[in-house]
Amino acid sequence: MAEGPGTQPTRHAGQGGQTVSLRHVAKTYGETTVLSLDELDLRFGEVTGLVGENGAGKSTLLGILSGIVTPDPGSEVAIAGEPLTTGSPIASRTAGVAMVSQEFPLVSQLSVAENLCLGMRPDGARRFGYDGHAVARAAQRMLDGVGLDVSPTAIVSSLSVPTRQMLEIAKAVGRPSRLLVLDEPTSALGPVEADKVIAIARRHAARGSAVLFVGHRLEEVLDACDRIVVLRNGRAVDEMPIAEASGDRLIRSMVGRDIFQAAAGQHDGDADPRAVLAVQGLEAPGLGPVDLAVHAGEILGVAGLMGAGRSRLVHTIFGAIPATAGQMTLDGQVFAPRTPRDAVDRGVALVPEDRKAQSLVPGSPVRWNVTLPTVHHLGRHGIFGPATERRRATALLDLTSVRHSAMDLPVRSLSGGNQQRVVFSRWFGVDPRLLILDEPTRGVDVGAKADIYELIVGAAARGVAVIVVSSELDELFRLADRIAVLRKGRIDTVLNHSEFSKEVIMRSATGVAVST
Amino acid sequence: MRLRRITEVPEFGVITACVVVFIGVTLLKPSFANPSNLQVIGLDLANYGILAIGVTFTILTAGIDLSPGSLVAFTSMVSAYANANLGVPMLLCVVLSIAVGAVIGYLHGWFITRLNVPPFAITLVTLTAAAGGALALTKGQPISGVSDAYLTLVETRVAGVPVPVIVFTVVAVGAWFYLERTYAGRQVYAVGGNIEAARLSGIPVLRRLLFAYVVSGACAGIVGVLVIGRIGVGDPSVGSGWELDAIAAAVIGGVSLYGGEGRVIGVVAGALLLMLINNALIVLNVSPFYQQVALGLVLGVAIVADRVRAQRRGKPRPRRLPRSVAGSGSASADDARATAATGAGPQQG
Repeated sequence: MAEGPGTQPTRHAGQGGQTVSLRHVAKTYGETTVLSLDELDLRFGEVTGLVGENGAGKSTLLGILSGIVTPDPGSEVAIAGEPLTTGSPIASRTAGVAMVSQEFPLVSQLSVAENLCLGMRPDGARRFGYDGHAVARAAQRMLDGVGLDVSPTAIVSSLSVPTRQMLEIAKAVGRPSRLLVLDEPTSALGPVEADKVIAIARRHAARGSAVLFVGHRLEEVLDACDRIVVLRNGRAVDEMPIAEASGDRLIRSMVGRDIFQAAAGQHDGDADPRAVLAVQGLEAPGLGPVDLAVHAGEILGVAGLMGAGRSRLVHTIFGAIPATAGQMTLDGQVFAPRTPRDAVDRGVALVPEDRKAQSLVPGSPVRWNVTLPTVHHLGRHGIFGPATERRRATALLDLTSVRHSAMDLPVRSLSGGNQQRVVFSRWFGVDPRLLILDEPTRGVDVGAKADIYELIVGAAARGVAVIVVSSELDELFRLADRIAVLRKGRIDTVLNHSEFSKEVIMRSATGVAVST
Repeated sequence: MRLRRITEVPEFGVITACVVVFIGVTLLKPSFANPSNLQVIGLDLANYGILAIGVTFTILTAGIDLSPGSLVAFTSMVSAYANANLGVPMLLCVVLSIAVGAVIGYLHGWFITRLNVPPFAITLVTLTAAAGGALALTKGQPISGVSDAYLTLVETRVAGVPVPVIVFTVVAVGAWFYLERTYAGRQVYAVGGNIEAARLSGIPVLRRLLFAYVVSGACAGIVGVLVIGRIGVGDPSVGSGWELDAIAAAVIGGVSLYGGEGRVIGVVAGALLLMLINNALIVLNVSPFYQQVALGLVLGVAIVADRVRAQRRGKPRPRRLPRSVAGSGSASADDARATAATGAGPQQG
């Protein structure tokens, strides 16, 4: 599509006008630099694609543009030559940055029209009071703008998720903006709507805005964009016009040259041939059918993009999401948990990904948290005294070497690493046959990570079957004997240890064909 | 050092306040400590204290029960009606009263756990309806002619201690034992502290929730019996507003309205403090209008003190912060979005 800088609708002062320019934009948290860009320009009239692995720095960059992340001093962002006051969402919005992402969700109790016009006064609306007619007119215009066929009076909570996502896009596109940021705009959409979104992005750029399109599905990025920027470890490692872009090149740039060297023999012990967990045709909403098996002493890694169904898979195995079809066996016996309790009773443990929301009772003491799934085994007939409990808690904390003096502190006062150790202790206490770990090192600092790895490997060495879900491929390479790659709720590929390769996994996860 | 450890006990403040008020008022007016006055305080304490303990169960699960006051009226009217008008023996009527309270509590729990009705809303329904039901039963007339056994129950003293106070003690000790010595009690705290974590730890969260409301209803049923003995008739207008005093007693005693925190000993002390202050104001001849003001002030002090203590411990209660924007931090939200798309979240069941 041709560039149309002349049609730019909004005022711009001074020279250097035709871009959103980023100079020396960086963000560090403590010692870690998560983003460091020397120079990046998003041209008006173009759709710029942004791709990168999880943790490459995409979210940080978007956060800086939208004002919710304050970049390091010295970072400069200018829109059409006007410097942007960074770290202020209001300044970003006034400067014309519009963003479609989960950061600015819809108000589900309000109507479509009210949501679309939230926080703005439609053109021609009465000066005072609420002008329902003007709002309805403006909303209809916005809906037409994206070709969305939904009544402006419908209540948002009654709409399907794809429609809501389209509505978010309509809301952002319908406001005057000079930079439109689409953060994974198609993640909840089917192919037809996804094409629509791409068309909207292209049209919006043609009207003179800069559009930043962040995507996981590489075909869509290739379809939508004029130029693609690849982020890796917080740096822009590759930038190409669309003519030079290909799925292969993108993946190579995203992954880097550091193809993993398998640590020879590390995991090649003889696993018990009989599976601890065997899953056949497992289905749940948005998942499956999935077949997999985990053996005693084996660590099965699960890779996949966000939204590929990784958490859903493990929650379904754990009985936290009801399975709609399929069979499972645990140690050769039928395993059909209807609640997590059934799973725990059979010796299945789950360390969920969000420690604060799903694992810990933050205000309760460590000793309560560590005994949580096993309290009913404390004492006789479920009656216990403080001494019994302390003995048990001490024994559990010893399993992961958490200091005993922490026992009476509220668990939220511990560091992330120690919190995770408490969670591991808790589940080691049920003597699991199958240990499921969802992002086991999220929010854990580097030093504590190694300890967590040791705990995981140790559990496998004791004969526990382990499933590890992780966004960090390095983590999976280090831990796993096999890696299953999930895409769109199904297992796309299973790799044995000797076949581990970031490239293959990324291809499989993104659905890019092997040859181009 | 040792003193410091005692002051760190969360209930230290309330218990100290009870002692200070008691000694202070006794010095001003020695008749305050007369056995007869103490018995009056004890009888009031029994009513409010039992309700407060019941309500505490629901607050610990991060819920609330607004119905106890109305349930006292309703269960006492049912009990008195059965006894005086239908000739049902008093002992059976006691059982009936408690059972009616428990069943209504069970219904609360059923609506909360099966239909996801907010506890505030469903118990508000009962607050209104049960008060109306009590009035409707006799078109607003009190029921006289109840068995003397009710009066005997309340007026009997065991070693100078009124029977209702003993009942209260039994309820308090039972609640303490359940909450602090049994696994099910611990699970109640976990449900209130983080229901999703409790569920994913294999705790039967719905059962624990439901049970809390049954306890609260049954406690109202017990008080329903005691009030008949106190006034000698079935009075349909009794109990109005008592639920708020009960909730206040729990909060003053250190029970967190966010759920998951608080102990029975604090609730007992909280109820005692309220009763001491109420009675002191009467003994000291303070206008009854100021009693409400005093209650409000005590509640205010208790809430502020709780916040100050929480902040001194270094970590305020967790608040929802914008989710991390550092690179890898967005997987969970994205998974949640996809999960929502399919209509089945891990938070169900």
